[in-house]
Amino acid sequence: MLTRRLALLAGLIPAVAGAQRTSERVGPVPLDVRREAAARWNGPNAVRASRRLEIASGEEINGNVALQRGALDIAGHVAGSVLAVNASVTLRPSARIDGDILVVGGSLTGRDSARVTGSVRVFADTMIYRQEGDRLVAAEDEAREADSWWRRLERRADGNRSQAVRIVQAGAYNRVEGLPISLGPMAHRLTPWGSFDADAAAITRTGNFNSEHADVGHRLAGEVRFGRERGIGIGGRIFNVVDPIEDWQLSDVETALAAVVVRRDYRDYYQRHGTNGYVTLYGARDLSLTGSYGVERWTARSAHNPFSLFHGGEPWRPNPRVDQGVFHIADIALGVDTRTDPDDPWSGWWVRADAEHGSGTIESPGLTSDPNPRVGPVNYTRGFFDVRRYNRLGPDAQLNLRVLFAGLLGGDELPLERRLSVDGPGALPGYDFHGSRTGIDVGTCNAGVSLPGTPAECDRIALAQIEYRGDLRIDFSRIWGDWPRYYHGAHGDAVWVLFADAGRGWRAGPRDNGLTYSRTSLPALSTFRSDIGFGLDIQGIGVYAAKSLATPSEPVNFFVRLRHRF
Amino acid sequence: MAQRPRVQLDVAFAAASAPTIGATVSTEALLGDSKTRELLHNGFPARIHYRLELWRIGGWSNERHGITEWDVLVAFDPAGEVFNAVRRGDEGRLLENYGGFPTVAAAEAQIGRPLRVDLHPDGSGRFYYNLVLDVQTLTVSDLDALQQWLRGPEAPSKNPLKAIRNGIGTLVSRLLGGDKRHYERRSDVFTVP
Repeated sequence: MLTRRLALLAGLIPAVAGAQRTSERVGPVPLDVRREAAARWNGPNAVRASRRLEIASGEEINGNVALQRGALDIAGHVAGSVLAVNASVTLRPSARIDGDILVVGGSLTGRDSARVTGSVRVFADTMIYRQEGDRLVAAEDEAREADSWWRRLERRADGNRSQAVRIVQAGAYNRVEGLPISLGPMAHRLTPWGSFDADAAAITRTGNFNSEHADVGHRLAGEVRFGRERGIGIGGRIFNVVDPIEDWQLSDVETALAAVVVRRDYRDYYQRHGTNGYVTLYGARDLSLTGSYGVERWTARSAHNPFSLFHGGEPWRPNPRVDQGVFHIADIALGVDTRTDPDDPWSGWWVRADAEHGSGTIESPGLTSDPNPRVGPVNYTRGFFDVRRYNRLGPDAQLNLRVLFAGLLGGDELPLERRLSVDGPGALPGYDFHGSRTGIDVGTCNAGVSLPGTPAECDRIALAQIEYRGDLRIDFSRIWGDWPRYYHGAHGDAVWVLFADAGRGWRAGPRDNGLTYSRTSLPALSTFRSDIGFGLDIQGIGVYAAKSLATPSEPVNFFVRLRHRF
Repeated sequence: MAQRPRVQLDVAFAAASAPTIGATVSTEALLGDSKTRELLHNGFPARIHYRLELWRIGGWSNERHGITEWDVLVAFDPAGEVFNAVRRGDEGRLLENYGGFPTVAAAEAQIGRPLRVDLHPDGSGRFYYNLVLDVQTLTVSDLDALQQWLRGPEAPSKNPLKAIRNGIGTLVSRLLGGDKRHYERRSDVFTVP
């Protein structure tokens, strides 16, 4: 029955298609797709038809199916590919296609309910072609093809890209570099066995334009990946960069904005000059594992006087002087991320576990409140464990938890570049960031000595955070139609947040006056700082107030976050 | 002064059929704000990422039961003076070229048409859908792709003027304030016995 119907239809093909000529305007269907459609039509097909074709439920076609200028209705099984040229395809729920579907000059319906093993491509624009007997010849127009947006899109989808000069921001605006700008070539290529990346850049630090000497760093990096979906990546870097000592508290954007607007820099910095190599395993969507080894020289950097919108007449907080020397660094990092959304998660886990072993020589010690700073050889092992759990309690509410432990795991005391602190809006917002306090400070582990910039000195820190987020059914989008913001209509536009935090830092060593504890013990919970707070997150911009519980004399702190607290 | 059309998201389903055939997603005026239109007219593509989630209400917390994602890309072709739109999904296995449209509104109408998504429960319980949309006209992470877009299909240029033009294009586009907008809409709760 099917064969008979096809035979009747086949006789119509030359007359109908012959009316089309290449002189007609060529549509935006890419040339390679037009060629592919023609090749498929001219190739082996179990069924080739025009006008209308139905493959009923229970019917089976052992091969490819091709149709032009009509409608194809599939409820049965096609054990090959499907081609529709200037025709539309309807897939019934019982349809089963073992190969690909290519529709040019038509539409496809029922894709989501049918079973299609291969890829599906649909091009709405009409395909121009001519018929030569039974053969179909695609219209060729190379000149138009050169400007086709499709070629650009397809090329972009390929993932290959390169630039002779790429100009990008090399880091957050800060008081040491100003705005670091990276200039240099880059290339990314996909290969049959994987991919490779290479980039080289000079890093211009704009915070020091008045200096007689140009302040320019560099970064050369290359990585080869074996495997597409999963595999192993091997890479290396040569660098001269300025990095933050602690970057876990606030995001780059928040840090940069605080610096450029109100002249408040929530990070301290040091210079890294050296090289390293790494191996990374990838394959699971939610999992990453990277091991690296390198040799680098660490140098202290001083703050400059970059521009800020407000408080321009005030000095920047000094950048603390850190330990200087050469270090061999071995590191292994594990990441797990099952969050439903990286910026606005409703549920899931986020885990970062990092262990670093460093060995080297401190040639020039930095400034600490320790009366006997370490000089000479040093070997240390440091860990960083940050575990976050997001729970959606209901359609409008969530309860989020975070536990963080970081610091010395073994060996000698940590160099200042690896010390930690726990205060300020990114950790314990009830306590001012690196604020000047009298006596022992369990936020920065300062022993009561005033130091320029108030460096982080803790060998270990522990932090626990909890927050409840509830939607307010308020629609701000009518009022602030063009207001720049990240969230639009998310979580009902506005969310109220109730939170509490507890944490502290300590030194590792012979126990003394409440700042130093033996390596095998933890401070009593009663010595932890704690705070409680409330905030409103309006379309991604959160305004919060936090009050210290453990230290009633601390005033209420108000702060703004541009992302979730954690 | 004409009022800007308001963005609308909808996740619809027939209560009786949701357990078997999934939900229907539709949108309106996603590209309606002036900044997005300006960027589009200046040759910067817009990428709309759709994520439809199916959530199950549990005793202690709600769990995401399933997810379907797809993208729609819209770009202005100054040569043809049309807005091209294309949909990609199913982890790259689905490519649907909607063709060219004379106006942004016409392109919006096409990409906003109800789309049935085969995401449905495979067990009993109380469920709801969550539709998440990210409209990205230009971001830092997209700069490389944008440069590629600007340069077109030719081999990497050896002309330094072109390279400088690309670099300046990057900076200018950032000054224009390309950003990412995030929308979210939740369906009513339905029960599968």
